[in-house]
Amino acid sequence: MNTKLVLLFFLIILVSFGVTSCGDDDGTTPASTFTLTGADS
Amino acid sequence: MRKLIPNIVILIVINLIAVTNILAADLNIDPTYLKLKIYKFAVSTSVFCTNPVTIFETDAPTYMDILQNPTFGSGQVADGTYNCVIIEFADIIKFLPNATSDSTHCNSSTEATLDVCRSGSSKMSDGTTTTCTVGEDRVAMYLSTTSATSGGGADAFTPPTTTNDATKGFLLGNALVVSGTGSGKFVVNGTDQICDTADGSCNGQDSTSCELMPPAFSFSKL
Repeated sequence: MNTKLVLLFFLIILVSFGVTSCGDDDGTTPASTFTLTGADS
Repeated sequence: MRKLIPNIVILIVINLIAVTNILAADLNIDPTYLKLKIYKFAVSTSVFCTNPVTIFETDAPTYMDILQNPTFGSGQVADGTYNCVIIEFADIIKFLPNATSDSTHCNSSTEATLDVCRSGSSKMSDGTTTTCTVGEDRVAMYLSTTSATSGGGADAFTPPTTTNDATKGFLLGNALVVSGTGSGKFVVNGTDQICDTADGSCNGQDSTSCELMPPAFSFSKL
């Protein structure tokens, strides 16, 4: 009985962690295309 | 006789103007083209240009004419405020005078070159150091908001190391703020910068060549 409870506890933690990870921002800053041109003035 | 003297004076003045123009024709010549070869474009949030992020890089660039407003390259960059811009390019600039100088060392049909880094060294954006030689070298130019000058005696090929550094890097007038897709221009102004070394005021290794005086370099966001 105790073993089942422990397994259930870890399962809940794993599921919670997974849901949280999926919902989080990946932490990166948006990237955009930047172009370098040349000019004489 | 009274009319003759004013006429002679007028003729002398006209001749003086003509001679002045002839002498000036060894100086202040514009380029028909001004070609550069860009290897890499990187930016850094630091005024001291540390930890730069490369936007684009190519190992085999081709010479492009700055007068034709070329696109050197593009790449991804994160939104942010960048206080330093680093451009790695070949230190040989190719140019064609738009007129033949009076002393004929500048010829409107003969391409000439300027080696902008003949001695000393350049710190590359990856942290390595390149020794400048008489010949083509890949060098890195640093434009930072904390560099104090553009041109003059400043070493543009080394990043600034102190606030308001007057000896290293060129001044970046405004920080590059990236927010979404955008572009910037690398300005190389060679207007009036070509001269014949037969004129003593034209810097050169000798008195029989065509030189491009160091052009003004700058960068700005479009």
